Amino acid sequence: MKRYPIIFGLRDLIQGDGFLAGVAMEGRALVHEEDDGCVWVEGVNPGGFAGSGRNPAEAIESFRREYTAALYDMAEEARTFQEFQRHVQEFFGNAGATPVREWDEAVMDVRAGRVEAEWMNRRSAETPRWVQVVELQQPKPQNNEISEGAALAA
Amino acid sequence: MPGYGQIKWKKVKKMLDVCAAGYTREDKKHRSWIRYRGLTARLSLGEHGSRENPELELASIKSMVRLFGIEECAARELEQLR
Repeated sequence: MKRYPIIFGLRDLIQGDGFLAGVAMEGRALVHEEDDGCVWVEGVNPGGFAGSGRNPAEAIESFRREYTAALYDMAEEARTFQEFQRHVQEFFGNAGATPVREWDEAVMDVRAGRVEAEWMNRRSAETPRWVQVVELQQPKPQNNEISEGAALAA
Repeated sequence: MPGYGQIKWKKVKKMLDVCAAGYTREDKKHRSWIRYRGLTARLSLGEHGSRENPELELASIKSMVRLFGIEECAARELEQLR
């Protein structure tokens, strides 16, 4: 089995009940490539959700859909923007000891040259992880931001 | 552990009853949320299965088990996790 530690940057506009929120997140995930060729991507920060596919690209796309579904469910639950903001911040902090440890180990493997992943760009594993949730009162095109997407943590 | 696939909820429930006593399940619009010891796993539904016994994506179950730190117990209870 192969493991790839990834860092991802995502930007979403989420509609809530009477509010519009911008969610920006720099998080991390672990890509597992099983011996039978199947691939699944596990959230580390935030954790507790996963996507899967027949190859890394498909699995990362599935992971992205699961992340979006999580935000949509939080928006459904929230009666106010502040409640939604709390849900998202709690989601970001939702992390398990095993995925965190394995992500750190996978970074060591990357640095030691034991991981081949030429199909991915690289970013420093020390890239800060954060989440920002803002209520959009006055939408402006200057607020649009292209997310970094996924990169191998090195 | 094997690759992607699906598991029926009743089998997962049986595992959780043994390995994560006190967990709660809430069905949201898009996913099922399983809460245990202050952590929340979000399970993706497969394409098939009944409302009472939906199919759940295996990757979601693996992620949940690792989030909750119940890998050893879960592997004993669910052959798909060995």
